Amino acid sequence: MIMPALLGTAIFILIPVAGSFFISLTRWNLISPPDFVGFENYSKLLSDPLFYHVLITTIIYALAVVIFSITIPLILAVALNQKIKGIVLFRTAYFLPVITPMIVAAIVWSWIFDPNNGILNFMLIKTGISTPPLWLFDKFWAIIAIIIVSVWKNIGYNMIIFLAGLQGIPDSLYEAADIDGATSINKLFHVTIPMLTPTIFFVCIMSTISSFQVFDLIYLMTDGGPENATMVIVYWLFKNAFEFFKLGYASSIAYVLFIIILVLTLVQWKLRKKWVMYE
Amino acid sequence: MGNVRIKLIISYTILVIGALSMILPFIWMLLTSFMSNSQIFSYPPEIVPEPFLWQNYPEIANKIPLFRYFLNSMIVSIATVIGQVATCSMAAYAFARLNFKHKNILFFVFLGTMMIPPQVNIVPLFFLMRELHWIDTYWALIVPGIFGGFGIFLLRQWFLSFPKELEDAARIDGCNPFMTFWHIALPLAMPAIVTLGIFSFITSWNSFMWPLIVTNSDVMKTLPVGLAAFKGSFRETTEWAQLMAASVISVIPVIIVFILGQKYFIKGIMLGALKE
Amino acid sequence: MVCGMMLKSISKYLIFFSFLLFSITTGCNKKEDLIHLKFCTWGSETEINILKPIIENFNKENPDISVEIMHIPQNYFQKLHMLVAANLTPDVIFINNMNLPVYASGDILLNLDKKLNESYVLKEEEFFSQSLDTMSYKGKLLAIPRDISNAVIYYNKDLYDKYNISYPDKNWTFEDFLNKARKLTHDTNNDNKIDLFGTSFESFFIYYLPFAWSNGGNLFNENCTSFTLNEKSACKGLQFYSDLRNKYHVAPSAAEAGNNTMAQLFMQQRVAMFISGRWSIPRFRSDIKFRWDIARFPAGTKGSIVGIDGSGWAISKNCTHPDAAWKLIEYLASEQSITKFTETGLIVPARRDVALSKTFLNDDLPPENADIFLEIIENGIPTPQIERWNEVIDLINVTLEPVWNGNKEACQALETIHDDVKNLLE
Repeated sequence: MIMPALLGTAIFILIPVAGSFFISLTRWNLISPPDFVGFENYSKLLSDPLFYHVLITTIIYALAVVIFSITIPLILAVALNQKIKGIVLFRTAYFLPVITPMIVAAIVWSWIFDPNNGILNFMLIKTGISTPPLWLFDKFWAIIAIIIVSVWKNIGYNMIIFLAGLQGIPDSLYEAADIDGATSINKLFHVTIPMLTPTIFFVCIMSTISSFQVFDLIYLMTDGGPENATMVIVYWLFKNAFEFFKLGYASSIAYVLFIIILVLTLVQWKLRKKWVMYE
Repeated sequence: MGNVRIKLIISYTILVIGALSMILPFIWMLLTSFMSNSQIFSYPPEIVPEPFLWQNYPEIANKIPLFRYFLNSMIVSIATVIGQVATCSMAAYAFARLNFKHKNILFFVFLGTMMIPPQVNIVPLFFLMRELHWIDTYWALIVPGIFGGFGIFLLRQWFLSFPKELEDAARIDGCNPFMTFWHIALPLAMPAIVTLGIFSFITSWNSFMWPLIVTNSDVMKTLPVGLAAFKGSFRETTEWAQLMAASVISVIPVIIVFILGQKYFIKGIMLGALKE
Repeated sequence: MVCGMMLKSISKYLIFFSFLLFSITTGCNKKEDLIHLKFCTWGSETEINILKPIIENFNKENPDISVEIMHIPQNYFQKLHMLVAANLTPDVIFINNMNLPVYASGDILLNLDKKLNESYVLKEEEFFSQSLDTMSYKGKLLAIPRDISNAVIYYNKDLYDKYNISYPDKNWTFEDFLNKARKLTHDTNNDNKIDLFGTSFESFFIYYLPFAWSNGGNLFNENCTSFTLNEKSACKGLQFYSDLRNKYHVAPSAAEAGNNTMAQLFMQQRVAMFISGRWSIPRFRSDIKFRWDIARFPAGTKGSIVGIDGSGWAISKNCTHPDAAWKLIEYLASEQSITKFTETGLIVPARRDVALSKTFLNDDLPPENADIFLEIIENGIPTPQIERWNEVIDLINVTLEPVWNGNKEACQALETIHDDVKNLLE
């Protein structure tokens, strides 16, 4: 039963992945033939201070995004899982950022964050903060701005997944809880969330993996700036691969990233028995 | 009673404000699609298109083969969704309910495929396409997009969160795993499958880098690649109004898919099945 | 009568049939001899819609050749690299001077010296020699140029008039430039925030290198083996540029410009002068309502010196019909075609005849002083062509970023990367 998926993955994913690994052992600019250099790329990478800066930036970003990308959509999904009139409108509205083209999101948010005329600073000044942050032009606030946009874009995405998960909770459980005299808060914490744990686990892992791989947003909004403050791993990888045409070095970055994500996922996987139900 | 009222009002207000911020960029996209290029970045910024250029829309069809790009995106996305749903649901069910050798390792392999940044696979995958002579064909656009760990993982979690009674009943009745899968698990998994379908569609529809690399001729390009023709190398040379108009058009099918998919989120179907 | 008519119709049919047969067979033959050329190019949809009829005409005039345009709208060199790597190199390639070295050293491109010498359609003298240089690498001509890129100063005549400042003259210096910029910078509504800046500021190398060049400095030494931007003459010029923003406040800081590009600010009349190239002209012509013109880049200690870049068409060594490909290039680089490209106002043509024609020097449309684009070719410095250009310029830009933000001195910052760049130049 898993044959088609297995076969397809083996051919179209595993083979290229193995190919990338070979590339990471070479120096190659795509034009001239590749030069085999063994693990030189990896040693260069691990002694490159920029790598550690980029890694830390990515970790900070990922941590913030994962936390907010789980909590906010979860609350939203619970709130919107009701048969109220107009609920479909609300759900569609919250889902709109997911389908809004990234370029559009990048432009509009750049405006919102504009230090001089943006709505955000306009409102902050009104609430008494006389020198609001320069957002995308400030080394500290830029990454925060990116996190905000990222969470904004992902809310709808995870909300839908949680909504699907909520559909799977049998009403009988809620009915039983009612009979036992449970309040809504009780039901939330003792029925909804526990039953939702497989879904939460999924969202947690997916968010971790995808936030470590963030690319489009940086590409369109900050170019890694200001002064490399928002340089995340995959963008740095892209620059190395497709601007400097250092394919070997870029592939080695990819593999190190892969190992990092793998370790994180393994940790989460091992811990799942402790909190995820029905596993 | 008053307390509950206030809570309701507060939560409603927050929801509405939140919803508005979600919609804002979308509305901007819509408004600018009717503006002239010079009005879009005027200062102070203007919200109402003036003059209201309806003709931006039919004009873009004159400038690029919009219909062809749209069709290509449709073909590719729908085929990808079907492929994904079919392969992932079977595999996910197997991982959730069946037991076989190296199950966990294999699952991790699938999971692992998501951990490699796609940017780095582009090059070897491109070479593979060249070997298969799939460059500039639908095959290259569709097939690689079908495989990935996301769908398997999503559906596996879904299948796992199910009580097993129905399937046990089916087994006792003599159904083999596939039949159980087909007749019992799959229908019950509708919300998750629809979710997968929606995401799969969106990812495929918005995919830019890969179709750019793998299509050469105009006749094979998908919508995002085709629209890139409106983007100049600098902001100044980008034809924003046309780009936004085309983006609006490209977003419509996705919205439709989403709204249609919403119908399958109805709990009623589920309940009924369980009670049986 | 009937027989006669029947005979007539039969013979009509016969003639028709044999004609059909004839055309099919010749058509078949033609198809077998048909040379297919793949021609890849970048460009916005406007540019492509100018290119398409040109190619259609070429196909018509050359029925034995069929050219297919491969339009790569974004990530052009990424895709081209992959095509080359996979042995799918297109036959005719649109390329620019900065990326030429990589393809040249990978031995991808055909040497066009001989072809140009022997051509009846194109003559070497027809092109600016500097632009032929941009399309050459290590002495070999590898592409036929279409256009030249260089930098000028756009200025807002209405604002100059408003503040009673004389227009820039041909020989104005850095000092003059600074003085005029200062006179143009104002806080018009007294809110302690400058609303009108004298000049633009962008961290693109085309805009900052002229400050170094005009002072006699350069990026690298003669044979591109050593980094020289950190030398006094060069880095002082760059420091002057940075001072415009941070010391004299005549140019907006990144945060003050915010989300707007300099071109937008110029069009919104929030920046009175704008350093840019020819490509801004089409947008400016259609959208700007105030009076504007261009001026030469101000002179430093060694004169007014800007760069020279360019793009043109090359032939892949893997092309199985190089003569047909050359024919296409002859057509693309002909006076007719280049004139069509120039009509949009987007490019400075590499052909002298088109550059000196009414199409380019158009008196009816701004800029009035379009000939400045041509004057500055004379002493312009071509962007150095090195294989690892992208990496080097990226390192320089990252190092200069704190300088542009006013946090570091140009000379100090550039000193730190001297060795790193030297390594990259090897």
